[in-house]
Amino acid sequence: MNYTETEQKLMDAMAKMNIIDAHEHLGPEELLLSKPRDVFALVGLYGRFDLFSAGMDRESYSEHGQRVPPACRDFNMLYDPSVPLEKRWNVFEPYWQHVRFGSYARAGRLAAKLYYGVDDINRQTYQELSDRIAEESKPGLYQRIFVDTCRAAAVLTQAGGTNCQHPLVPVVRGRLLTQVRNREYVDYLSATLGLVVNTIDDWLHLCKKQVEKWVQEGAVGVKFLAQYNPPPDRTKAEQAFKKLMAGEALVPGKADRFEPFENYVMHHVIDLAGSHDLVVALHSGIWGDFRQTDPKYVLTLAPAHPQTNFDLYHLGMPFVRDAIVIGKNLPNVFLNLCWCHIISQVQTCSGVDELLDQVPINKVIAFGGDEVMAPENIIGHLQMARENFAQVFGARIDRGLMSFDEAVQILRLWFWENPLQLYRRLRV
Amino acid sequence: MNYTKTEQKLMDAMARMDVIDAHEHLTPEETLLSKPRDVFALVGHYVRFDLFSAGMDRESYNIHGGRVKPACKDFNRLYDPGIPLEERWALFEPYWQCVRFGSYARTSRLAAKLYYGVDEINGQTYRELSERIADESKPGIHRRVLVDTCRIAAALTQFGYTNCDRPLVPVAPAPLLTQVRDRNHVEILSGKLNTTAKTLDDWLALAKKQLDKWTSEGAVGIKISSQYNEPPDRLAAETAFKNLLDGGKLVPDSRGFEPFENFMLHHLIDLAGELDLVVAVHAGVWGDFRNVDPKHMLTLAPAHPKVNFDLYHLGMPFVRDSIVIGKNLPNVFLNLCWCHILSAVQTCSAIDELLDQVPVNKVIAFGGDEGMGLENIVGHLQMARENFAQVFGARIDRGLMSFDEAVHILKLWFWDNPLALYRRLKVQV
Repeated sequence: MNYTETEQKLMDAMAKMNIIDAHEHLGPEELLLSKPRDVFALVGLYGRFDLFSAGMDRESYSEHGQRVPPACRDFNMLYDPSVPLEKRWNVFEPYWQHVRFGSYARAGRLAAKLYYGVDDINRQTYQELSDRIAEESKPGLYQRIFVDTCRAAAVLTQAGGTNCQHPLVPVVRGRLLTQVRNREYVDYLSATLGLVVNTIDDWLHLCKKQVEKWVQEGAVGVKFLAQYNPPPDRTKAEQAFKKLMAGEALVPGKADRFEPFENYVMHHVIDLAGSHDLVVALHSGIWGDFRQTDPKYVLTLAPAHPQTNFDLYHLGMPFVRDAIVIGKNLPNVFLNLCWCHIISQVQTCSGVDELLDQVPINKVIAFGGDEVMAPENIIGHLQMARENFAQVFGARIDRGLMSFDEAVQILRLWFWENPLQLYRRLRV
Repeated sequence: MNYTKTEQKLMDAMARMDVIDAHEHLTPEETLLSKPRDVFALVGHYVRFDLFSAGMDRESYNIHGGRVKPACKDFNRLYDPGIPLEERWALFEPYWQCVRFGSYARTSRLAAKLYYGVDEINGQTYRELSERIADESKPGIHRRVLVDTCRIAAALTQFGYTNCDRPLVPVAPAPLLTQVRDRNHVEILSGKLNTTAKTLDDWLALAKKQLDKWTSEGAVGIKISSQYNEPPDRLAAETAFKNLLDGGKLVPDSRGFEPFENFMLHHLIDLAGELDLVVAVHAGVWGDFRNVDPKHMLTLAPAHPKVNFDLYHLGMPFVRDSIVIGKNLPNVFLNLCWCHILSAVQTCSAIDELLDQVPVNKVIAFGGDEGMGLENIVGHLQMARENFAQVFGARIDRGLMSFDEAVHILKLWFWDNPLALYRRLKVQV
């Protein structure tokens, strides 16, 4: 991408900034390195959804709008090292031609260029790129990518557990305590914690124990979804829990995904999180029937827990403007631009420009790669984030609406100080 | 802000235009001047919400998402003249640093610059700015700000009453007649109007009387909110009103719906139409903004085809919905009041999109929506002009319209359209 003079100055300034990567799904490094890696590592996590949309594995598209992984034959083949790389490229290339101009693909293409020195991902380069990726896939990869290349002092990751090492810092899944669908799960989790659960109060006690354990293990936040959330109703929750303990399954409503026990415990865990200085991170937008993860659900959830801080992810894309007004109006809701930059650079630029108009600058978090299998893509993603900020702030500077120094000051808040301020348990 | 050549030409042209300010919350001048005023007069009305969002008075934030005013201790201290100005500034400054780049704050910063000649609001200037504000806060300030500086011939204001002098022109509060929650409200209002209300028909007669009174006092419209609405159900309304007179409370549901209110809303809208009053409609932004979604107009406006609705704020953040509503419904007009300082960027993209979609006789350019920071209207108007200059300037430079066409449209939006819509409004320039 070409930059104006001001944009280039901002890019240079951002390249010198330390960052907090405020949202990833990365597991321990040894897990990542346990399988062979090649060019397809760079297109796996998000690129696949564009590939599916473009027609790959169309027959695996079910009436639920989802994919059953084993049915995604072509996609799965890309990750089968017993199939020659050339054959896999031939399967991949027709779809790649349809998706390579998108923001998801750009993160992978920039990773290839900036980290591996390969200008693009195409028929001429896939072999060489694969060789370089294989060569680089050895212990210390996280350190080289996050710390040495991206200047990330901490990477908040949600990988299901808390067993991760610096720079990864865990954010745990709140639904482990709230999305309780059958008695077997109750028995399993209570046994894990050495507790006996017979009543709803026992379950609430278990929640407290689990939250304390997470805190002790270094968690800095709990993750939920923005979801339909009427005020907690203890009677209904108790009835549901009794049903569950009697062997019935708890099934959420189809249209609103509402289930009274889940709703009750969610409100409870949010309060627990607040009292333990854990941030409640909230996914919103994009996936599936995205009306069910509408950020506007936060309009009732956040005020119901005034002592808890919420980190609202992804600007609730496509409900960006709604998310911005929520971040503007509610003092306990912060806006985390994780993932936004690679969903749509254009939409993110307009989102950033509009939120500068509306949201106090201490309420915004600049970056989270939201990556799983390709830490290298975080380099491309971060570059796109910087470009987005450079465009928006650059235009404001050139219009005389702020000075260069003011822009740099705000960007430092967003990349570094605000996430540290919000995640009070985080030490770097 | 720096302008292109075309933008500068448009700014100059707009500076020469007379303006109808189509929405304010200004009180009579003597109320404004009844208390000492300083730098904090410029940050009270809207900037406070950004201050709260940034963390000021966090402990006053309650489970309803609202604020109990007396609990906003730090904010209230800003307006306590018994506390030295320096101490109040020290309380304010950390939050100001978090909000000063926003559109709300820019209005105040522009007001300081354009009206008081103080380049910025900061630790170096607050004392001098306070002195200039205090000096200026004397009778005639409405005229000096609105008429002499902004060329505003009329400012439609909503402050709960109708006792205001030119250039202020009242728009009356419909909730007084629709949001009746207990018997006490019925007794107080019927007492004031020297009537009794024992049946629903009595209340309808009272509503007519109140509307006639407002009209005779110079009101040009009534104000409601865009809210969930169903076809009026007289039976349900009668039951609710009886319940109320028996001492019960009428409580809206989570959608904001209450059958008596809904019935009265429809009735009042029809009455307004008969009296040539415009129904001004708040939409968006506040609280659980799903309850003030402009899409509620999709059923309300067609149910009253003879009444004209002035839909405010482009229903932000539901801007695109509002634009389609303004495009499709002949009795809904789009009033850009408040938009320019909610987000200048969002407003620019909206103006551009509505130029594509909405007839040019359906748009109103400006309403300051201000309460205590009268001077902010100067900054707000400047931001509005900048927004129009950017959008129209780009279209001119692209060859999509001529300069003269742009000026013609802007004159419609700033002047002709509000006058054509608010038919009771008479002005002299």
